[in-house]
Parts: sequence; C-alpha cells; structure tokens
Amino acid sequence: MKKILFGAITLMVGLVVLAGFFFQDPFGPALTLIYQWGLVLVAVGGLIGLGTLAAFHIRNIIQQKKGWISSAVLLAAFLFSLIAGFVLTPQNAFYRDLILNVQVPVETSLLAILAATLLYASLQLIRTRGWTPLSIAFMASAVFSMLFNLGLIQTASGTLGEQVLMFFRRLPLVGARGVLIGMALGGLVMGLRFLLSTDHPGGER
Amino acid sequence: MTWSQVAWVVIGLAAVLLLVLTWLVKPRRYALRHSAFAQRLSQSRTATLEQGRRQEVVLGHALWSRVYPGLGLSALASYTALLNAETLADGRQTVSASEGILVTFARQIIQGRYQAGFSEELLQDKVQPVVYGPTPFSFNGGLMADLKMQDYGTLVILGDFGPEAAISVKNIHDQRGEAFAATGSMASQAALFVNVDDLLLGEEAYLAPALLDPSPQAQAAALTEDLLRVGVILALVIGATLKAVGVL
Amino acid sequence: MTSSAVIWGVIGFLLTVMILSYLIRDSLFFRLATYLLIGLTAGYLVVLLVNRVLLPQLIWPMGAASWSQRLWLLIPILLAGLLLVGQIPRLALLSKIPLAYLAGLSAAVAIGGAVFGTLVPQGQAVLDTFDPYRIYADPQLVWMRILDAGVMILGVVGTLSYFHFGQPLQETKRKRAEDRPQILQVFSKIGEGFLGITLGAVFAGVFSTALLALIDRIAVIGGMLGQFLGGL
Repeated sequence: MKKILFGAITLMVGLVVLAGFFFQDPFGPALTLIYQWGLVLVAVGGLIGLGTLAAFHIRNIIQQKKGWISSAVLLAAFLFSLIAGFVLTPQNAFYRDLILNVQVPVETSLLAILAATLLYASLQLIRTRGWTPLSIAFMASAVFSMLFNLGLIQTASGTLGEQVLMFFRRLPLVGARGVLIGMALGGLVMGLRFLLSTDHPGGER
Repeated sequence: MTWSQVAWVVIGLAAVLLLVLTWLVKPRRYALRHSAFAQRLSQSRTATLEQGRRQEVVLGHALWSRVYPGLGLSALASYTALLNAETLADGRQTVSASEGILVTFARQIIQGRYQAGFSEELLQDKVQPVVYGPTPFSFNGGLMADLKMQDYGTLVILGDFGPEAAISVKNIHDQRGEAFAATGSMASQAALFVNVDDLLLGEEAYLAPALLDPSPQAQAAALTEDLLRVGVILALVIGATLKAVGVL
Repeated sequence: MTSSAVIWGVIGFLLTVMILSYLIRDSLFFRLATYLLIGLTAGYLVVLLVNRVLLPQLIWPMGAASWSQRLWLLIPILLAGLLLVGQIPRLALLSKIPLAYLAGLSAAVAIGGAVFGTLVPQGQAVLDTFDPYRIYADPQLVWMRILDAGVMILGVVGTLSYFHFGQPLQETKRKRAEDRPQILQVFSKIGEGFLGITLGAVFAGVFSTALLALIDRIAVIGGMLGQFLGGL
C-alpha cells in the first residue's frame, strides 16, 4: 500500500511536469510551482547534508579519531563562516573576500595537482590499458589536440592543408554527438524507470 | 511533423516499450554482453570485506544534471544494487556526495534496508552517509583526506562528476585499493580513462544498475535502451538520406 | 598595494604551498588547507540556502500573501518539514513523501532534458550536415562537406553501436559473451575509434586547463617569494 502511494506521488508529479513541457499554457504556472517546491526540498536536503558534514566531524573530535585536529579546524571555519555570513550578509565585501581568497587558491592548487596526476597516469596509459583501438585513438587524439592547442600545427589560410587540418579538428565532435545521443537515451530510460516505479526512490524492490 | 512532436513520439515509445518489457513480455532470453566491470567490482568488494577494509561509494555532485540528464538517478539506482546483505552486516561502507539531497536519498535507502532485515542493536558498524564538502573541489579534498586516513579497499565513483575525480583515485591506488567508475561527464571520463582500469564509458554509465543487479526490471530497461538505440540509428540513416535528396 | 591585498596575498600564498605540498607527500598541511576550504564553503552555502532559497520562497511571501496563497505556501513547508523530521530513524517513513515528490520531478526533468535538450538537437545537428544548401554553399568545399557528412553519420552510428548492451538475440550466433549482434559489432569497431578520438581531445582540454592552473600557482609562489626576498 505504502509503495503504491509513493509510486503514485512520483508518477503524478512527473506527469504534471511532462505535461508542462508539452502544454505550456495551461500547465505553465503549475510547472513553476512544482519546480519551486522542488528547489525548496533540494535546499532543505542541502542543509541536511551540511548537518551530516558537521556531525561527521563532531564525531571525529569526540572520539579523537585520526585527523581530529583538522576536523576542529573545519568546524571552526564552518561556524565562523556561518556567523559572519548571517551577521555581515553574503554581499559584504569582507565576507566575499574571505570566501574567494580561500576558495580560489585552494581550488586552483587542487586543479594543479590534477595536472600532475594526469601527467603521471597518462604516461602509463599503454601499460595499464594495452594497445587497443580505443587507447591508440585516445593517445593520438590527445597528442594532436595538445600540439594544435599549443599552436605547433599551423597551415596557411585558404589552402588544402587548412581544410584537412580543420577536418581533423572536427573529428572529436563526431564521437561527442554519438556519446551525447547515447547518454540522452540512457537518461530517458532512467527517468522512465523512476517515473513508472520500476525503480523506487527509497530503494525498495 | 515538428521536432517537438518527434520528441513526444520518442518519449511515448520508450514508455510503452519499458512497460511492456517489464510487466508483460519479460524477455528472459535477452542476455547482456559480458562486462568485466561488474565481475571485478564484485571480486574487489568481496576481498575488501574479507580483509576488514572499508568501501567508499561516491554518488556525485548533483541530482539534476543539465548536460547529462538522469545521472543522479542512475547513481542512486546503482547504489541500491551495491547495498547487499553482507555489506549491511559488515557496515564498513561510506556513501558520500557533495549534494545533500543525494545523501538524504542514500540515507533513506540504507535505513529501509536495515529496517527490512537487520536487528540494528546487534551491529557494531553501520553504513554511513557522509558529505565531505559542498563544492566539487572541496568534496574531493575531503574525500582525499578520508581515503588517506582510513583503510579503504574499494572506491566506486558514480553519477555526475568532473575531471577532479581523477585526483582521489590516486589515493586509493596508493593504499593498494581498487577504483571503479561509472561517471557521466565526458571530462570525467576522459580524466578517469588514464587512471581507472574499470571504467564505464558514455552511455554505459546508465547500464551500471543493470550490471550490478541483473533483475528482470533492469534487463527490461537495458533491452528498451537497445531497441531505442537501434531505432535512433535507423532514423538517423533514413533522415540523412532524405535530407541529402532534399525531401526533409 | 593596500594592506588588505597584502594579507590576502600572503594567505593565498600559504594555502597554495600547503595544497601543493601534497605533490611531495600527503601531510597535515594539505588536510588543514582543504578542511579550511570545506568549513568556509559549507558555512557560506548554509547562508546562501537560507537567504536565497528558503526565506524568499517560504517565509517572506507569508507576510504579503492572501489566505489562499498562504495555504499554497503550506505545501512546501509541510514537505520540507517531513523531509527534516524523516531524518529521525523511527520517523524515516515520513521523508518518503517528499523524496517520492523529488523522484517524480527528477525523473520528468531527466526525461525532458534528455529528449528536448540533447536527443533532438544532436539528431538535428547530425542531419544538418546532409543539408544540400550547406553542402553546395561553397563550390570549392563540396567534397569536404560530403566527407564531413559521411564521417558524421558513420561516426555517430558507430559510437551508438559501440554502446549496444545485448548479445545477439539468437543463441546460435553468440560466439563470445562480449559480442554484439553482427552488424552492430562491425560498426562498433569504428565507433570505438571515434570514442577514443573524442575522449583524447577532451583529455587534452582538461589537461591544458589543469596545466594552466599549475603554471598560475607556480607564478603566484614565485611572485610572492620575489617580493619577500626583494624586501629583505
């Protein structure tokens, strides 16, 4: 009975939203309302998630687990940011500077670490994946794209060479279209599975 | 016929196919191609359990993905398949996401499973849902730290991810653990291609639930997708021919 | 340079060094810097969620709304309340109602996004390469446009074939468990190549971006050290 009730809610909401895509005039306002409520729920879910984050680190500190000092730093930063945000508001220049001047260097540095990780891993590509059509095409395309991006492959404008080069530049788009069409089919069927309750939001079978 | 009408025909056809194949026809003879991904993941999870190590399942950054629709739902469907009785009894599994609502869904799935078949008072550890960080990079930083601090044997990355997923994979390899990925974005797939052996590419990311739990419903969904794909291929070839001769 | 710019510069420099120390070994410094980011962004996000979503959507409209509008506002408040209360294990059942609502919304968004946002536009783009007006627009490039169109349909059909999940329908035709139906198997080999080309090009883009970030961080460290040493 419970399953049927939850399935009915899912189906009803989904059908109204889909009807809103098709019949925009009569269902438009309902669609906006359903989206807004959904956004509210996602926001509440976000708060619950951040509560989980805080609880996880409070537990680390209480149980003095490995890395509890870092957890204490995290909680202190969380509380400081929270109080400063509510007192000063997010538009405040100091508050914005505080967030951005931590976020930008840390995130850019993590991206820099990604460069080192990718370089190291790509050097071992053939060892890990072997000589397959996929890995060969991957490597050749990556090297060609890099050389092109660096401006090391150039041709004179209006020549046959330029046309050939542009043809090779367009090749990745072909596979991308295939991948995107395929993923759209995957997304469509996955959406229908949830809508028609062959999969349930709570994981029931 | 407008493109909008074509879209509705596709949706209607997909819905009818899925319903018919799930509830009426039930194609038992339809066999999915062999996937080393599911087999190796199962082996890795068993080894992790036997060695008393932890499993980490990551559900991605978003329930709603603009470019890759349905990835959040796919991650949740896959996670359902990863919560078997042994894992629930062992309890040494962490499930994480950077979006709170994904963790809320995961918690619901976990609670439902425990309530369905376990006496929770008898369990030492229970599967934990965690948010490591609220943004993709902060999440990844938190995940990297946790992978170093605790003894993880298996890392499963699902759902909507960016290329930063590749950094945390290095940490699990450093611990002699194994990584498995069924992520959606092309940037993440390209980055993970070089350092994850067991990776589902492109549309295969949506196949993960069927590979991990080959239930009749999942089989029916895979067959529906296959039939739709063949239909799309035929439509493209016929459409291209008609376009070339100026009919379309 | 203002004093606040100097302070933020020094903080940025220290955080950069702490994070990049990971390249030598995972250390407490790396953890401290990432946890500082997590804490600050988590607090910021709570403020944003409350100030930009919950207050404007739920609380502020209550004051100016009519009674009937207030009744409508009660629905999201009720759903949000159920989601919150449902986090208590004994009351978990209650949160299934808002989660069922979200599942329906997410499913419809996925279906609409997949078909209207991706499938139709991408399909259209494939067919457009066969448009005779486009092919014959520049007489000198006709052969190139025809080649483009041919490669496009071959590549897209190949890539789609590569993702075929099932084995051949007739059991007698199943030679290996990895094989697709025969015709799709042929096209899938072509698709594998196109998939590799696409992923390789995307990889080059990701790697270039990451490399630029690395160069930027090295420049920051170099600049700060230069200023520091120059001031001595």
